Amino acid sequence: MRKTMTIALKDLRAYFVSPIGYTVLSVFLLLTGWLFNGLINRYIMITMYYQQMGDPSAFRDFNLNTQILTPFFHNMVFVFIFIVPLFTMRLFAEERKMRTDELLMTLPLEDIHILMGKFFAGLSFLGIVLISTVVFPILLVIYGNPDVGPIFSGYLGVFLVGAAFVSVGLFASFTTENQVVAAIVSFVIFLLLYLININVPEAESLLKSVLMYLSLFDQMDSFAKGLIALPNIVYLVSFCVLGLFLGKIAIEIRRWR
Amino acid sequence: MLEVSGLTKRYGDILAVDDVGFRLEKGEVAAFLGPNGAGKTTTLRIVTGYLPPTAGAVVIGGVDLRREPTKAKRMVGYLPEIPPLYPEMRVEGYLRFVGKLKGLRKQELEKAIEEAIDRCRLKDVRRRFVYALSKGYRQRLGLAQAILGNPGLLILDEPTAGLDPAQIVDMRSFILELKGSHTILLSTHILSEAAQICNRVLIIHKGKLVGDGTLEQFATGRSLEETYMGLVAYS
Repeated sequence: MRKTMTIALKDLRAYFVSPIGYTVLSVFLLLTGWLFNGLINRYIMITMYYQQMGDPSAFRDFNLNTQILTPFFHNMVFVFIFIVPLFTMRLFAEERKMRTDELLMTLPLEDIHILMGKFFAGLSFLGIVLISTVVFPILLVIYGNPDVGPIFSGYLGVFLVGAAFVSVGLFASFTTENQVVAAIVSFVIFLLLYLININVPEAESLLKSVLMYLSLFDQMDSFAKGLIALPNIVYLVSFCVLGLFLGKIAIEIRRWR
Repeated sequence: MLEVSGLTKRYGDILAVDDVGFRLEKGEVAAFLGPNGAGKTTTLRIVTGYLPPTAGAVVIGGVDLRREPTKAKRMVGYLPEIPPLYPEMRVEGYLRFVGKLKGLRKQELEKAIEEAIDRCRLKDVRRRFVYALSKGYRQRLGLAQAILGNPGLLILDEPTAGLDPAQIVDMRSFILELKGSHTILLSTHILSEAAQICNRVLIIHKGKLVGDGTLEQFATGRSLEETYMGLVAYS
C-alpha cells in the first residue's frame, strides 16, 4: 500500500508541476461553466414564458433539480469524453517515453503497485476536477432552493462514471508509448460507449436491454435524479475492475514480449 | 551472487542473445564487453528483470528471478543506459521516491539518501530540479539511485557513455570505491576502462558469449585489445 501511494502521489504531483493539470482543469471548468450558463438561461426563458402563459400546471416537475442539475451532471459526463483522455494518456505512456519504466519495472514492485498507484493518481485528479465544479451547484443553493440530496448522488454518479473512464484511459496508456495514440484509443472507446445505445431496436428485446445496460451514460440517469441504485454502482465498479484487469494484462504482455 | 544460465532472447527471427551463461562471485567486478548491438544491453535488461528471456534462468543471491521477481530485484541496483530520471523532481525528492519504492522506511530511508548523496557527490545539487542537471550529474544521480539501500549486486549499463573526460575519470574512481562492497556487472565498449576497473571480463559478440576470464588470464601473452579483436573481429 505504501508503494502504491508513493507512485500515486508522484503522478498526482506531476499533473501540477507541468501545464497539463492546470490546462485540463481550466478547460473542464470553462466547458462545464458554459454549459451551466446555457442551462440557467434556458431555465429563465422557460420560466418567463410560462409566467406569461399563466398556466400553473405547466410548472409541475419544473424545478432547479430537473431542469438544471440533472442535465448538468449529464453534461459533465459528456465533457469527460474529451477531458479524461487528456489526463490519463500520460500515466504510463510518459514513463515509457522517458524510459523511466525501466526503473519502475526493475524496482522490487509488484504490477499491482504500479497499476493501482497510477489509477489512484488518475482518480485523485478526477476528484480535484469535480471539486472545482462545486461552485455551480453552490450558486444554485445560494440563489435558489434546489433539493440538496440529488447534488450528492449526482456527484457520486459522475465520479463513478469518471472512475470507469480513468480505468479505460489507464489501460490505453499501458498499451503504447505514444501519448496521442493513448488519448485517441480512450477517446474512441468513450465515444463508442456514448453511442452504443443509438442503434437500439424499438421493440423490447434482449438486445435492447443489453445495449441499454452497456451504455455507461444511461447509468448516470438514476444518480442524476437523486437515486443511488445498487445495480448502477455494481455496474460502474465492475467496469473499473474490468478496465484495471485489462491494464494488468497490458503490463504482463509488455513484460513477456 | 549472480548466476546466469542458457540465457536466450529472440525477437522474431533475430537472435539477440544466444545461450549466454556466466557466474559472478560476491565482490567480483565484471565488465561486459562487446561491439554495439552485440546484446549487452539486452542481457543486462534480462538480468534486471526488465525483459523476460525467451529461455534460460537468472539467479540472484540464490533467488530465481522468474519465480520470485520482487525478492530478487531487492538485491539489485540498476543504472540503465539512459538514467531513468523524472525531470520535474528535485534530486532529493527523486532519491526519496526511489527509496520508498525500494521499501526503505523513515530513518533508514533518510540515512540511505544521505549516504547516496554523499557517495555520489551530489551535495551541491541536492535541492536542484533534475531537468536543470548536467549530463554528468544526471549520470551520478542515476548511480545514486542504483546504490540506494546498498543492494548487493550493481548492474551498470555503460556508466561512462557520453561523459566528458574529467567526468569519466570521476565515474571510474567512483566505481573503484564501490569495489569490494558490491558485486558489479558493467557494460562498456571501452577496453581500457574494463582493464582499469574490473577483475573479470566477459566478451559478447553477436549475442554469444565468446570470452570469459579474469584480467590476468587475458593479460598473459596477448593484450586485452588483441584478444578482443581476435574474438569479435568483424567478418
